[in-house]
Amino acid sequence: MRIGPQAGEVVDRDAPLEFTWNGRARTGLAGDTIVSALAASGERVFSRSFKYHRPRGILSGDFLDPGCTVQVDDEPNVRGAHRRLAAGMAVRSQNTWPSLRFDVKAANQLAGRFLTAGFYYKTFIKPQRLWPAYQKVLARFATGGQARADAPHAYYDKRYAHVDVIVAGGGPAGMAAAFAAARAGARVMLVEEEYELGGHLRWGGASGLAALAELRAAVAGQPGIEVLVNSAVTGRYDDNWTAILQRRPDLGDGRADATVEERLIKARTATLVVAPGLVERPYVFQGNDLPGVMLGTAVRRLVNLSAARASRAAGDGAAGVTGDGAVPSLPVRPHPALFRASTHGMVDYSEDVSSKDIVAAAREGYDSSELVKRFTTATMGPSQGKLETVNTVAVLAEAVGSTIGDLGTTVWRPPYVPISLGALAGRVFEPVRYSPMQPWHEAHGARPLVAGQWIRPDSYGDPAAEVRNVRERVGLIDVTPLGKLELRGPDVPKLLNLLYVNKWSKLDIGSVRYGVMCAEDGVVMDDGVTGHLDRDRYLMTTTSSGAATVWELVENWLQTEPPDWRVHVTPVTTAYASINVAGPASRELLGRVTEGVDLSPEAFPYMRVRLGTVAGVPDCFMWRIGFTGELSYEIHVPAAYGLAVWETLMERGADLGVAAFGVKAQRIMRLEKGHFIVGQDTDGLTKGFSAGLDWAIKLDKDDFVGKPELVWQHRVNGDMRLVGLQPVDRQVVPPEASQIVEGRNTIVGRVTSSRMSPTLGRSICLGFVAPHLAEAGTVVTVHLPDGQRVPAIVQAHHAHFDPEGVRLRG
Amino acid sequence: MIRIPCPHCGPRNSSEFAYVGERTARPDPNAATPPEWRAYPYDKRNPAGWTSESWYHRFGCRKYVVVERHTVTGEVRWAEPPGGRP
Repeated sequence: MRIGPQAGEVVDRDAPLEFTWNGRARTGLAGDTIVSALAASGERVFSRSFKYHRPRGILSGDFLDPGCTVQVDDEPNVRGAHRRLAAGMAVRSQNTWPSLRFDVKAANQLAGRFLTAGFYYKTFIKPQRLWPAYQKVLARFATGGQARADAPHAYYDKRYAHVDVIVAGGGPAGMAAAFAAARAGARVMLVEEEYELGGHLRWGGASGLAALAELRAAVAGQPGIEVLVNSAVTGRYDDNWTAILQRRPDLGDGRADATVEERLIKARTATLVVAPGLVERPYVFQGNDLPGVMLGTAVRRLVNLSAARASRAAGDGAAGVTGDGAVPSLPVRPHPALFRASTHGMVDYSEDVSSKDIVAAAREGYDSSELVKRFTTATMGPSQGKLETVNTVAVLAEAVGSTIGDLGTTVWRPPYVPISLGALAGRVFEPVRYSPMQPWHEAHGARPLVAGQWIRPDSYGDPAAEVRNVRERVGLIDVTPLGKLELRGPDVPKLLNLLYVNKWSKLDIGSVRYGVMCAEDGVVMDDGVTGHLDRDRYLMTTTSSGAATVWELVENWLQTEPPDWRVHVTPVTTAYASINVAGPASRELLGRVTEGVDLSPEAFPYMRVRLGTVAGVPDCFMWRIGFTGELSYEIHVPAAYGLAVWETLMERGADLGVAAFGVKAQRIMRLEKGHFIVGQDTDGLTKGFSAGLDWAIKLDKDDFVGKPELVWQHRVNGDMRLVGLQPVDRQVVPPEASQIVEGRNTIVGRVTSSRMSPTLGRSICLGFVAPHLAEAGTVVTVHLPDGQRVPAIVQAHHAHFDPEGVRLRG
Repeated sequence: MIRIPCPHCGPRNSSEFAYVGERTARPDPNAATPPEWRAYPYDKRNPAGWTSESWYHRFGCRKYVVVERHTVTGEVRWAEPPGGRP
């Protein structure tokens, strides 16, 4: 039922839109909201209330309208009095069964006496065995819209903006402010919740429309104003950091960008102008939530914007406006009790909280705004108090004999409007880091290991075979993620002495040394090999996962602590591809591809570094160290040539039986050699001496990070010790983290690393034991996850294989 | 999202930085008692008011800066290099 053309109407009578309402065909016009189209077609009831399932119609006729929430296609909880109608929409009412008209759940009203505010604190508690049944029933009554689990994932966007002025609200005040600011040279963002600027001028009458036209022209003609419609400022944070939710941003020519569901704009603004207009406050009286009882502004919107016939105006005492013509301003009669009549009525329409409930709550002792909110749930609905707060506090004030001012409102928190979780999440970027040799790994069947952001080759199919090949012939492993820091300057040894537990002043050029770093609480933090490459030039390596942390730690010491040491740090983790060539034939293989380096054991002993050309690539350096326990060289190649060098090694070593090995095989071999891994065989409480680092910690150094704690640890000697463990049944491989127990259930340690060794044909472990059990030969009891308890013997060394390191030093 | 006035880069969002912590003086490692030493990494004043703390401009100049921040209002008074104002 449309009335005659209205001067300010936004509907296009020549553009009908077909849609369905609860399965029945309806027609609206372009420019209608869903609810204005339904109202124009004669509907008055759009939903059932949350608790009592009372029929509800239009109250405020805008985004906040509690009775106008509907399901649109797959989207639940659509604000039907705000959302513009689109062709083909399938609109349904929510939380009604079997239908909107005849809703069985309205029987709740009969049980109203038992369903007063706070009923769930007092009911559905006993008997406890019925909780699953209660839950099933209550869930059916308490649902909102329906979200489809298989709905396609919408696209949410994010944007950053830096402006001079954000104006929240595009009514007359907001438009005027935006125009004035932009004219003075500011970059302005004007944010409006409706689909067009204008606020109340749009449905105000002839003079309002004239002012509207003027203001619209001014804003459109003034450069420097970005207008965002169907958007809302959701919160203001520190320093005017402002969040704006832009719904269905359009492509600039009026068409909505169908690909972006919502965009979250994070803006830093110098000034925030808040011009939100007013939220009309409903009267509280019996029947105030009946369909057809509307706020004055709702009637004016309906009639002036959509030319829909309003059934009856909730004018106060006016005879009711049913005729054509714009709704004029109604004369307001003064009321002594402005907010409440003598009867009780709805205060929170969304939560079905009446003024009677608030009075009852006050009687029960919930006599502050915060308490009455939580007990009755008033203001906790979808509009979050915008329509409800003042009435709630007013009714409470009357009930307890106070005033609105004295009681105060509850705390307001952002967001101001609902935001989809998708918009908050935005697009998720997951950067991935590959070494230059990755194409080779992929082509050769490498199983990927995700190590932080790095993708590493875990194995190429048979880790045990990879281990055997390294121990018997030669293997290559890609260790590029290894942290690498180049340290230059005359004071580098001072820095190394400070950060590591061992001594560094007498490390010759061409030599490398293993070092361990502890934190100031003495806890083992990182380890790695550092080499003295050249005069005033060192290369420090760290664990892969510690690469960034150690770099930042080094910088922290150099930048913030005195004295002013002459050290310059360059992180080169990704500047070099790193390859470990390991096995008895590694010297032979390297000799075939290296120039400028004498590889003989006399000229290039264990724990040395040499610079040279590998596979034709200059500026490589290689050092002899041995994580795997075999004769091995770690080559660091300028990254761009990593793949070429790798491929050359594979080709030139074919007759030697060269094969790639992955992290899985490497871990087995390092365990055979008893090399601990920080974070695996140590935890957040493992201080230096617990990890068996007695040989490395030099307490006679004047100062190093964590020294005092290590002095005290050494003195007391009461902490766990890391030891090698051999399960008596050599085929039992205790899962890592299995506890070591004494007596019935006293925990005295745990297994930290555990593997079946293909080299030795038996299980091998590292683990922590209490100091009184740490002597070699002690039998301890390992508690397996399935409850079994198995014996294991404490070993004299961490290494199970070649403890003297003969193969390494050859 | 507070802003930190990096002395090298100008005012930047705090998300560009890593928060390091309240600055405490390092005691003499050879003279400190266990309580004195342990206060250094663990005990912080954590006042409701102005505090001096270290931030690292991880996604900017990669310099450590000392920031004076009010823990209640979020106001940042200044940020300077560790050695003092240049």
